[in-house]
Amino acid sequence: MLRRLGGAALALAGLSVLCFALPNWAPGDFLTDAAVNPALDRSTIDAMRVRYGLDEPLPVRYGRWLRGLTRGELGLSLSYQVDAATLLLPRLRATLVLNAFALLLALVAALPAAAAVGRSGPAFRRAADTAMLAVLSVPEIVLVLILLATALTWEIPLPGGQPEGVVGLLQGLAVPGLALALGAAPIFYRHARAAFDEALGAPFVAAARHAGVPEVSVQLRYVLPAAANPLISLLGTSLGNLLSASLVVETVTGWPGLGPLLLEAVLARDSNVVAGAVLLAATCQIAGNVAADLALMRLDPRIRL
Amino acid sequence: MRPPVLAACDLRKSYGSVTALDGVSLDLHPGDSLAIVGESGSGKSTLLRCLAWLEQPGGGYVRFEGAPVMELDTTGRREFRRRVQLMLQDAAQALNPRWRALALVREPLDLLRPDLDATARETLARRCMERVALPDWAADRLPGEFSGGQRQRILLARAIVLDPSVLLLDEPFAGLDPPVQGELLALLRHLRAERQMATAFVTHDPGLAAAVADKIAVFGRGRIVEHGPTAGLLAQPVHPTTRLLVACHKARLFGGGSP
Amino acid sequence: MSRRAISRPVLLLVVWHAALAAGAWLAPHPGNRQYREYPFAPPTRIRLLDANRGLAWPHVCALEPEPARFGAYREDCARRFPVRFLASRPGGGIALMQAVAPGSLFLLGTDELGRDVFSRLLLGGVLSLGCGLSAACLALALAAWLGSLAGLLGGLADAVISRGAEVLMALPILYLLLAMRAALPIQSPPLTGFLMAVCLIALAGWARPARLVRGIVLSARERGYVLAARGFGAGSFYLLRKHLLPELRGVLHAQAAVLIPRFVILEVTLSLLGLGVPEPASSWGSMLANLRQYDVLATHPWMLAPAAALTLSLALFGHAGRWLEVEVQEKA
Repeated sequence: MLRRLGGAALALAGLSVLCFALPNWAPGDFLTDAAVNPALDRSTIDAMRVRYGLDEPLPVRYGRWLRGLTRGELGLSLSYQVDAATLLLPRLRATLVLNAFALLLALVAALPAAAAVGRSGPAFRRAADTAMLAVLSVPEIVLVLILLATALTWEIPLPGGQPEGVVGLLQGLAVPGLALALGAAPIFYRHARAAFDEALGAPFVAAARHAGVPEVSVQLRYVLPAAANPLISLLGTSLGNLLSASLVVETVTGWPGLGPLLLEAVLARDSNVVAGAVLLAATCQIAGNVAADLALMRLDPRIRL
Repeated sequence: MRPPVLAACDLRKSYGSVTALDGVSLDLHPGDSLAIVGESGSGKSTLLRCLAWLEQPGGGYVRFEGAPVMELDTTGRREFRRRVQLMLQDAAQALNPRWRALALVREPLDLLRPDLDATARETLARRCMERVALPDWAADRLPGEFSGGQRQRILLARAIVLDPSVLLLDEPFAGLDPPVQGELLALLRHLRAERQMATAFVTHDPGLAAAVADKIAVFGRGRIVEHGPTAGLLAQPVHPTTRLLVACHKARLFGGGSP
Repeated sequence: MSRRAISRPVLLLVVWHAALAAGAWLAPHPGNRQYREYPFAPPTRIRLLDANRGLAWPHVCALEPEPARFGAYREDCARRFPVRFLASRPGGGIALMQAVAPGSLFLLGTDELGRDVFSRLLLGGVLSLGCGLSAACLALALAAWLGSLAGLLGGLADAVISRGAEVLMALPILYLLLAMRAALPIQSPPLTGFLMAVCLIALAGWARPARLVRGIVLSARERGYVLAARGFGAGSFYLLRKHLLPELRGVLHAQAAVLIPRFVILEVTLSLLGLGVPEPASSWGSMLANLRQYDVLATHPWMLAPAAALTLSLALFGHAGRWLEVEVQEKA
């Protein structure tokens, strides 16, 4: 277990270098664009560069940035003139809310469907599997555009900006959440079908049935735990895909998550915001993977990390 | 007495806590035929790999014509690679299953005889395949299409194609039927006489050792526990390991049980 | 069966690419030609019946912009123009189909600058799929070399490569892409933009296949024939080229089937966000970028055509991938 955490910490350390180096290594910086502004002359820009510490070599700036990290700061956002953390944390919360909602939706749709289809006739099973495969090949970008178009044609309100109250939140979540869930559900469905199939065919399930254990109990106490392992590891690994997809979906629907801000920061060369957003997303993914491992360890006594 | 062509001097090697070689010394003179006999897992294969410099020993020297292999320069190392050949155990594994027999026999030449042109290398490879009595149609077949004995012949052809001075063989006849073993043994004896090669081969079977070797070294727990001329040593074993090996062998030969 | 069977899914993809490329070559309009008088024109209806409801040579009615409203049109069927197939295109080359001047034929309508969506769809397809394909080839080449180097050399090289791959895999790939994109100039000419997209995607995506390759090489390294070749004085480079890379062919094929569709989506996404292949070159992503404005999406549904084409291609890729999977299983 300690080794697993150590590995995660090492990956994070590597990531911090990567996150910092990439946006800061770019040719030109935030102030290169400012130089186009005729109101600012060269000396002013040079003075600003010195003030923001942009004239120092990269390792020095990295060290300063790291020291800031230990205090919970992510460095100054040059376009907003506040610390990147104050910009990013509310955005991170919104992203997490969206992803949690989508994940829940996908699981609630996929697992019972997989279980039901697994017990139905072969013709229906094949039809359902094929349908799911068809949905699987529609990427999230397309899903979100189609959902948006539908919402617009039927004049379903799409609240922009800050959602208000539970109803407002759900309204705002509807399109991006549904798009993400539709993207993730077929993958869960496929793995759940395979896992259930395998668990149902296991000798100990047959033995339990033979011993007269009631069917509900068989499903809950024997099949589900046996099928849980691959699904939990899948949850851990699919978090990265979900976060990736969420970036596009947020940007297209205007959900105030990390995605739109990151895009804006990349275009504005606001390097601290870029680095912070990427680092936060990576932390989420690593945390998700570690959490999945921990859950596996708790649920399955055979697994020791 | 002539100087040894290949010599090991106090070789040591361990994997983690397991000691495979614990101070092994042996000399191999031109024309020698040495059998290294020992139980499986006693470190025989490791010894051969160290002698062929496929693994670096943890301590001690391997000397090739008097010079430590470790200190050879690139030219010297190539010369060593050419003149010391190791024939690996398990022919099914030791031949790349995707290559045809001719390419397999040519591979050593491609690697170590860049002075020859392609046609010369191919002619040489074909001649070697003929010498080990592989049929004409063999050249274009894949290893999977041969019998175990024929695969062993391909390995042998690969080993002699470079005209080595020393041939090291690791359990060369394991898993073969006795008649096939006999043919291969005869072939090996011919080749040795014809090319003046020194051979060292590893086996767990004292009977086989008696059939080919002039000298025997008995190997146990990472060291040579007893060595001497074949006939004398097998007739009057001294060390317990040797006695056990000989006794087992006799029980198998005369006890009527199948090996 | 092996060699021919493996190539069947690949053949499917090649045919699909070739069809798009041929289509692009026969595009009705030059991709960048702006028909300024027809922004957001809807798909033109090709008529087979004349004014008296009798069968006629395919033709189109004249398209009249409504003077009062931008982007609204009405058809004037008093003026009809026949469709000519395989006619010469204004900018040179041959067009699949075209209305006789001054009539105009836009099979899938036009965009906000009056560019023909159908022509751009074909050109964009070549570009988007080409980008995915090249990025996958590059990523697999990187993965094959780095993965086998790590597996073969071990030690420091292995540590550096494996840790590097782990770091890359710890990031959601799109975030990684944007971070890497942030290190490059925002504006660039189309060709540079295309090459940049290919390289970025490959650099972001090599880690997972490299880890697979490393595992295979690690197990292959101990095979007898690799050891034997070392006994003949073979160097790492020789071992890699002659013994290990052929071993990897099956895995690389299977990985290609997984990576190509994923990379196509990444290119489309990058271009959609305005960070991929820049205008005026058409990629399916940059064609969809306008749809981020809701009013465009709501009123001009034909602009979704690239999304449909993307989905169709991905379905095709998915099909090919499953085909490959089944064949590999049968072989085993």
